[in-house]
Amino acid sequence: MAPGNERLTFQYRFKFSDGSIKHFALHLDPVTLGLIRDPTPSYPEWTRLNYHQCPNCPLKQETTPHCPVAVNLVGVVDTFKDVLSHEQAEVEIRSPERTYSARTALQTAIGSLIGLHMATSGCPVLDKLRPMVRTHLPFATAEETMYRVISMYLLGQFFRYRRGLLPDWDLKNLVKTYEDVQSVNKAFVERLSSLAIQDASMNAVVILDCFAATTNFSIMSDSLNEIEQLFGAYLKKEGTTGEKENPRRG
Amino acid sequence: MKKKILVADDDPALLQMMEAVLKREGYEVLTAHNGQEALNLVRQQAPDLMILDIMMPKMDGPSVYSSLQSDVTLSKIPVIFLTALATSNSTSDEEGLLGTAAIMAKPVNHATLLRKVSGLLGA
Repeated sequence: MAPGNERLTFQYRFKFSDGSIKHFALHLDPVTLGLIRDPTPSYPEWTRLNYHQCPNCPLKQETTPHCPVAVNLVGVVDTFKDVLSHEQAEVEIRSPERTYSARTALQTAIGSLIGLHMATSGCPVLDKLRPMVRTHLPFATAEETMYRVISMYLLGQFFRYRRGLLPDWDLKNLVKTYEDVQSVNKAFVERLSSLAIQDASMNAVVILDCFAATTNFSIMSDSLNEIEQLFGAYLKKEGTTGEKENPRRG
Repeated sequence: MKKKILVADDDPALLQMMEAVLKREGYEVLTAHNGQEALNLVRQQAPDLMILDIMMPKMDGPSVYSSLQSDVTLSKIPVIFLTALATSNSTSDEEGLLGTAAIMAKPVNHATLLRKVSGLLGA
């Protein structure tokens, strides 16, 4: 971490119906947005890389003995091992800029927490979601997530274009990226299902998977047309810069 | 006439996703956020197929199913149960049977879901 750069912290506070409280603090490197983990002497067996390893995982057991996502989630899974997904809790989340709070089903809040852990874990598949961590939006709906995902992706394509790399304005590679993300989600639910735990953590990942599925479904079924009407100000023949209309794509 | 499918799950994201996928295939979709709501809808609307989450607030999926078994007509509605706990020994969408109902693992694969729905509706 560069000197003077303070780490980025997200704090989750769960107040359960029995009055008990559980805190999680995620400290992130402000430049890489990777999770800064405390040294841990050992990890449980279910975190081993080859334990229900994702079919599309590019990592090797010899060099990476533990799944980075699983390692990040040991504390979360252990905390919620006896919890049903639809149980309600009061949840408060503090980002560097603001505080979010809601009384919600635990699966929704755990989904936000797990999503943050997954994207900051160093998993090569999920690394592509990491830019969204900086604007982490707890309790997000499927539409909000889809909007943020596509916005992030197109910003990434703009940066590629600016560097002379081929941009993907058609979102074709985003569909492939999210198919890969869904493979990870599915394998991770299988990994968790093998443990003697209740369904809260599994259903939290299922929610994340629904967001991924909704994004891909929207792209592939042209459901984005429903959002297009919001962009009327950008769809006039002459843009704000006065440029003439361009062909759709090169 | 469109086949009518009831989907019941306490996760709004999953409900929304399944509604979109099924509607696109031409089905009419009813949604419920818990078991009690599902049971009421089944009695009012008599859908052609039910997709029920196993673990839901107020009334779980198997209880909804059991409550309908005493009704001559409604007991014949085919059911798919959804659960995130069903994948322990599977590497893909493992499907099994609970009574005469099918079980489908979450996360739900769209193609598998549509194949199963089509099969149960005899479409």
